[in-house]
Amino acid sequence: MSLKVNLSFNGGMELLFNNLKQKTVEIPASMNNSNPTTMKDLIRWIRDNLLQERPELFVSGETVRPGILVLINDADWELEGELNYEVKEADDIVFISTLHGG
Amino acid sequence: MCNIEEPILVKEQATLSTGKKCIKCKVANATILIRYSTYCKSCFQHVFVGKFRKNLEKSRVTHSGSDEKAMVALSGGPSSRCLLQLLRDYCEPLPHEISKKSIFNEVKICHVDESVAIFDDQEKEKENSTLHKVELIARKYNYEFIGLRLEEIFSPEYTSIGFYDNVIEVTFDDSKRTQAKELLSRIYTQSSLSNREKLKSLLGAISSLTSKEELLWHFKLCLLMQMAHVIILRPMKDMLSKEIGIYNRFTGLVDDIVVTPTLTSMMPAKSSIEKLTEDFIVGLEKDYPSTVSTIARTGAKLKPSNLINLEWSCAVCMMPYKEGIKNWQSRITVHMKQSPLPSQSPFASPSQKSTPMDYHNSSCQCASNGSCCAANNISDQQYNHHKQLQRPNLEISDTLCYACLVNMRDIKSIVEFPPYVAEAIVQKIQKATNATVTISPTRLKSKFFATAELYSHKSLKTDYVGIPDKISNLRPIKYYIPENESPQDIEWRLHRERVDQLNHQFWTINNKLFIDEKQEYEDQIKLKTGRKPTPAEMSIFYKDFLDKAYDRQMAYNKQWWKENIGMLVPGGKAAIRNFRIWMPKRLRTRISFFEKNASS
Repeated sequence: MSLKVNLSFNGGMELLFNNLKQKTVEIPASMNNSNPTTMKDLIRWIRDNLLQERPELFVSGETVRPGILVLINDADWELEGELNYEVKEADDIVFISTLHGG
Repeated sequence: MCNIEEPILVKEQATLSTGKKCIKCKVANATILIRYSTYCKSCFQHVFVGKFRKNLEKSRVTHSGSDEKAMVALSGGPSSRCLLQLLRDYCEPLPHEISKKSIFNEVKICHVDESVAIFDDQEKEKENSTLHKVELIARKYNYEFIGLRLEEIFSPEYTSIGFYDNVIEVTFDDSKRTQAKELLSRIYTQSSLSNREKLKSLLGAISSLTSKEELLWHFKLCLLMQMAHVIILRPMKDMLSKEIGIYNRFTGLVDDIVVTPTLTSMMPAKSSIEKLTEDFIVGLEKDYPSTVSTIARTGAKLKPSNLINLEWSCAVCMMPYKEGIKNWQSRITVHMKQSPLPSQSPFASPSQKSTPMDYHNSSCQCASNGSCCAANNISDQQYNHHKQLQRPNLEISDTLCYACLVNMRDIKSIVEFPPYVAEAIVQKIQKATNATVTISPTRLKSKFFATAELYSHKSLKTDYVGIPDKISNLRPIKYYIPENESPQDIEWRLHRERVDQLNHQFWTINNKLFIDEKQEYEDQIKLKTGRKPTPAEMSIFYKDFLDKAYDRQMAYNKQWWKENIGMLVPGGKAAIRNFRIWMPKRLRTRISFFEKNASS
């Protein structure tokens, strides 16, 4: 089983991904034992599969670094359960850097 | 009891908000969490825009006046990009919106491209230049765009009088003899390096990123302030970066952002104080979102202390500062005993009795390399003024604020600071010496600050010939005055000076006209054909120019011939007088016979 999600990187985030601004990716529906894939898994998956350089500029511990906004289907991920949000088919997940100069 | 080990749970509230309604409309499901308050998408946008307008109007009331102009300092980043859009929406409300009086009758956009300071080679600079990208954004708005490059800070325009072309040379003396580092400086005419090279060498000589960043920031602010003598409003200061990011996403602005690389882009937080501060604030915003705007608000409430003389501002950062920093610094820091610097140093040392702008030393340096003899004539008034400047009373460390002085410590070699800094220092010295002389173009153009000593007649041992003038292409000549100059000699010298002046004036005017008209002609051709004029087309211009200038040129030629012939006789006499001095004593009487004949 796999899920298709649309990822976007904006506001300078794209520099960490070799100027990749938008990509539809296929991720396993379950990464951690048999539990459904959560944002926590997705962030780890992005770090391992998409990130080109400098993981410390994207992640901090298990979550994203402060200064990076995450929107899930145009809604603040802080209202969607953050790391515990279970990723669904065709979700639009946006990462926006709010830092000046990257 | 509170335990310091106990973890602080700040996320508690956030996770509990899941499934809440918008606090504004109370109908829609909340999708955005700002400072523990939940909003739906449309209410968020409404509140955000409202907050901006309220802030703008509030700051306007305090510095009011009608028919105001605004300039948006647009870096292209998320905040300024958002600001531009919000300001446009505010100034040009949609038909269905409640019509408010537009408070700005003119909006300009200004961008400072910093790529020169960030990248090492020219290729990368071009590739990462932000100027054109930002201009593309600006074109979408109907506002005038001013694009600047950071290196332009070295051009004479960015000074308060608009054409000051001296720079200040600054270095820290690292010599082991003194043990303590000594800040040295002198005002000097600009070197022939391009502005870009100057900025690069200045930044290259600064060892710490923090000092570099600060200096860049001051330069940027100086450029912006020169473009718009303004009061700075920060209507976005209460906005969280999260709000801006989300707003930009909802309005599509997020795809229209220029990522401006900085000195510390992609670097760890500890690389500079600014980066570390940013890191701290960003972390704070995440955990305690309300605290961030408190910082900005508290900062805005700070007022300069009564001890600060507001008329005096730091020569580099232009902020008011407390005088007598050196005294204060010496009280709080450990001092090394300093031995005098070696006398061959081209720089005067503040520890010596002279001022850092020790003209005597500077002029020695000038005489040895012969590179700055381009000064125009210096009138007595100017010379007196220069003498006033010579009094030891102000050191460079007195013209800088403590922060800028500390930054100067990171300078590792001799560097040139832009003209605006030199200008500020000179102005301060004038104030300190109570010199009532106003700065006029000729005085500044004469570059006499470094060379006045050289030109005080008494110090000349022979005639001095300078480098060609930039416009007239004539070499200035300063004539040697012998100790017992006879009346005939004085007359002869004054005559030559008058003729030199005549030549200089004519060629300055003529060459200026030529340069201007040539430029105009080239522009016309370019406008018509879209290319540079061919040599054939240029020859039309040359002929035209010469035809037009015929009368002027003929009048000058006649005058010049007349003067030339008129100078033959006094010139011959002078030659004989000089010859006589060199002759052995016993022959002098005989020579006087020829002299008599020549003068009859």
